[in-house]
Amino acid sequence: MGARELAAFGRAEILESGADAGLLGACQKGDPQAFARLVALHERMVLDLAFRLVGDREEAKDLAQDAFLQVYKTLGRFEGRSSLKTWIYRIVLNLSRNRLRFWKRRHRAQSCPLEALAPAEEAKVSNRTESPFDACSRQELGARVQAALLRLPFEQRAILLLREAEDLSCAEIATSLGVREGTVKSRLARARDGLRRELTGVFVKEPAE
Amino acid sequence: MNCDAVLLAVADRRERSLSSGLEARIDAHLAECPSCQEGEDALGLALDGIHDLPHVEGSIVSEVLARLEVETRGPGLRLLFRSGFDQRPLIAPCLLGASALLAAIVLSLTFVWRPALPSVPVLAWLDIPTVRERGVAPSDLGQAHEGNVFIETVIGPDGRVARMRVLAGNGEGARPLMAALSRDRYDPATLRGRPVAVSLFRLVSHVDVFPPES
Repeated sequence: MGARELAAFGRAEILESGADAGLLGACQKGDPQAFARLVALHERMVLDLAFRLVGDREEAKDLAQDAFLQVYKTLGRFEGRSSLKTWIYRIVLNLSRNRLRFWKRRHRAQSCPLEALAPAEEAKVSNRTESPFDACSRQELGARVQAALLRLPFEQRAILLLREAEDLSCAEIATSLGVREGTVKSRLARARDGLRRELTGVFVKEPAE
Repeated sequence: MNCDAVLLAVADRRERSLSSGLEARIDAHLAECPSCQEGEDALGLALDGIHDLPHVEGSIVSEVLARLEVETRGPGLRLLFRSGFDQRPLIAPCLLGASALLAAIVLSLTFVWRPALPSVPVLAWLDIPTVRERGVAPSDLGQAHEGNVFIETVIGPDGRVARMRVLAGNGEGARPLMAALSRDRYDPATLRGRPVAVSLFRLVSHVDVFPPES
């Protein structure tokens, strides 16, 4: 079923692109290859968003799998009122929120992921053109930003990530979270302010040469 | 502009969503205020740092498809090879409950419903009367005609023949036989140890036999 036929059924008024529409139609027919393409298309954004929301790689992978399974199961209910990407974001956000609540009840903060104990990941040089000092600085900056993000309330963190990392507009974020656009703007301002407060004084600006 | 307003507006300034006049006032404030300058630098680094956050390596396509296959697969042949208990897991509790219910009904009926039993039971062991004194003589039988006779004999509690009648057969020819049979004396039939009257039904066959002619 293509985008034109979907629209004839009153669905998919707004779809991101023809490719997405075709893919969506094939997935709704139960084509596993089409679903594999859909996962491959969106897995980077889902994995990164989940990782930044929960702060744990393995949790993020698990969460991303759950998210795609939920996408597959609820694909029949997708009405196309928002883009597929926004809809997937919404699923990831809901799952992440539930997972964090689950771990909060089980005192996740007192445990430590295995990867934090293994220095092998940090020892990898991902970019050979980058000097070891720059790589170390970048990793440290990333770790501090990630830690500061995790200290923000979940809703603020989600909005900030969708805006800054995923470049979504406030309207799209509002759709993803199911809140009003004004709420998104106010929470975004609070999130930026909170992040600035967390990181003020932490970074030492290098003197200009 | 005070510092709080400037620090709230610097993010919008990064997005170029402020008017040029407001931007100029913020720039002027930042040039004079090292504290706000530090805050703007921190925010800039943090927002840039969000873009540089580490990524999760690897693909999850195969994992998702494997989980999808497992979660959408039906029970398949496992349905056919289940044990009896797996096929009907509730059979044991159901049977136990049904047994308990049945036992309760039977017990309650036993205690509540007690019908008046007849003083004399319908079914009882009846002792068959036996011949005590045979009244038939061979000469009586010799006078009988050839044939079959079906006879009912009523034997009284005293062991005497109270009544005799032919139900089928040649009654006239069987008269001497019946007269002889009526002289029989019986040990009477007993029910619960008491002598009672009963009917006996007998089929008597008589064949004349002649010696071969010499």
